[in-house]
Amino acid sequence: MTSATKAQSLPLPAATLEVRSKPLERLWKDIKRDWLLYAMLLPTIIWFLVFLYKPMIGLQMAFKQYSAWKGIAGSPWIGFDHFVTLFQSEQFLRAIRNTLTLSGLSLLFGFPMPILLALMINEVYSKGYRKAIQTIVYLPHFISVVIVAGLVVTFLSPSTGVVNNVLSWFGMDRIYFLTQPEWFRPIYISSNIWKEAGFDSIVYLAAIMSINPALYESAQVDGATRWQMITRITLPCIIPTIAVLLVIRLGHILEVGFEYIILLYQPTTYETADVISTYIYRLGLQGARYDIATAAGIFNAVVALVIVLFANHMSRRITKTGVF
Amino acid sequence: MVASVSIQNVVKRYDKTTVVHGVSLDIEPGEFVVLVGPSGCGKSTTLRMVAGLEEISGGTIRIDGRVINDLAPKDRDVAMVFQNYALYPHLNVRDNISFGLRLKRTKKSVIDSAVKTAADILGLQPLLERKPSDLSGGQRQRVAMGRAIVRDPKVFLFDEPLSNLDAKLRTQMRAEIKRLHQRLGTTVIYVTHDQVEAMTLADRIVVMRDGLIEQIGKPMDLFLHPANTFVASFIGSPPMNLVPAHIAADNTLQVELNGGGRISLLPRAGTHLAPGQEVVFGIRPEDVTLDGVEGSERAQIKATVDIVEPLGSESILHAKVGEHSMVVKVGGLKEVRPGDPVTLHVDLTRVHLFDAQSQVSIY
Repeated sequence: MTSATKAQSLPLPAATLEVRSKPLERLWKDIKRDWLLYAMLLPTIIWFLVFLYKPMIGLQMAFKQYSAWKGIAGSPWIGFDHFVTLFQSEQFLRAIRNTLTLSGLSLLFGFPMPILLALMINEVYSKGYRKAIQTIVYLPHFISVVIVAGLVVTFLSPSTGVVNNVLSWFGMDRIYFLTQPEWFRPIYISSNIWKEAGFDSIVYLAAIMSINPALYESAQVDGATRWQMITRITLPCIIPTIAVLLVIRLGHILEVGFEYIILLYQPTTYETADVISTYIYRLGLQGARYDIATAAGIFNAVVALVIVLFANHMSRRITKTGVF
Repeated sequence: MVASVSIQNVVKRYDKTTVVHGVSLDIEPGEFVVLVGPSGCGKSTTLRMVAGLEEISGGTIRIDGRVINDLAPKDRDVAMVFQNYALYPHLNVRDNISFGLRLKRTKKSVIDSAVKTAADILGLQPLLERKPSDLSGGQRQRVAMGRAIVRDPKVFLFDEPLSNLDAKLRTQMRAEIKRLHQRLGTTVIYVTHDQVEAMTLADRIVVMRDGLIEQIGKPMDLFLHPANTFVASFIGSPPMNLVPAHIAADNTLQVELNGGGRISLLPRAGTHLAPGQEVVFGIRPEDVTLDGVEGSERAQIKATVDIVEPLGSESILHAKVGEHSMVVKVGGLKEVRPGDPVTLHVDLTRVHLFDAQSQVSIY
């Protein structure tokens, strides 16, 4: 008998058979063996089921003429009517435009800031000075958005705000920052950067710390300047981290800071400030149009999914790193 | 381009801790000097001070007569090969090798030619487009050497370059480094904790301990004439047998091993041994046999076999002499078993005596 025929006639190893035929049995064995680990996992699974999966049942509202009296199950199906209504609404189209613009600008200005900050912190030699800087830049992250919004309102107040006081010292007119649509985006983006850039830089700092110090020593012997070390060693070495965080960030591109916008915007700035989430909030909760709001939410989620899949695909192609 | 290196009274302090205590060493142009010693002896720190990666707390380092204490690493004209290769993970082999030249904005044609030469020397041509993650340990180490070669430095510095390789690869790379030095003839300072590397590669070995130089010499000088018990036990594998002993009270040409055995010494010029003097008796495992011919240059010691370690071409025996253990290297197959009584034949021309207190060689 040749080796090939021998191989054909030989039965599959027991382990392989088990894997193929009884995955549930294997899982059960696994659970029995590591029950403690599974027990620790349980609260998270329950959380996901209760808060993320169960509410998905309500997604069918987007395709129904929802009536609170009839309930979700009793309401009649109407297909894609709500989506058609949404896309015929100028307000919704404006919300999409604003969401994409605000997210795009946040990404453009906000995403590189933590990287720059991490690179700068990494260049500080004095340990004490470095720790002080890190503490100062991390702190705003722990301030509630309500307080941040309060600070912004106070700083930009036309009558008593520091910014307007400074402007008036220089003989300039006081500006009603929070009532003028053109100021909303710069205020939103810059205050967000101030709040989050420091904390977001932690991941990049950790990535920088994991770079082999011998690379810098080798470059030093080769004659690299500090700038060359940053551009030719540090940055390329943290590219995989940057790529992963970019993919994650892109996944949230349509989730602009809902609460923060609610706290800062007002009807006079809707033109630039009204985003999908605030539109859904007004429509769904204030206007009690749960079905249309759900349709808008589904649209939001589908677009976000497409964007994140595309970003992950690009990241895998360019940096060979991806989230999944 | 070869250069001399002069290290004079070099000291390294970290706050209040001194790790290198006034090391002095003159290295001839083209010489291959190996700094060897246990972990924490200051050998890597000394090398890093030569490279400019550590500030010098005291003393002077000169390359080709020029004081380099305050020069930036790039201005010292040295190239360093690191223990963990220090290859840039995002660059391929070609770009890794040419990194230093590109920093200096060297012409592309010059870079290409330098990379080609280095790649030819190290057999890296087929690997030039690969990333470090796609290379084996030995290949990575060759790339690290290639990066040093293209810079055409005055001095090569190697910081434990073979420590991360397995035993077989280490032997191969050791030969490659030796071949490379023979071909390039550049001055090399090489740091290792492996005495075999030191013995096989060095023109001269510098044995260090606790930030001090214990002995400098050619490999065989250190092997045959260790200055103290530390060098005697550090150089050679297995290390020299060191047994506490004392000079016989009635005859200064006889040494009594503590715990049993009396050995007659051959008279040597310039040796002054006092009756009853506490000493450490030293004999290398290679200088003891089981079936030696009796004669005036041989001494016999009764022992019992404790452990037998067959290595194929030779065996290592651990024999009990009184309360002490002696290691014997015997060639070929020996039919001995643990517990067998044996007679150890000691080559008296190879006996070493060290002062018990100072541990310095006295015979």
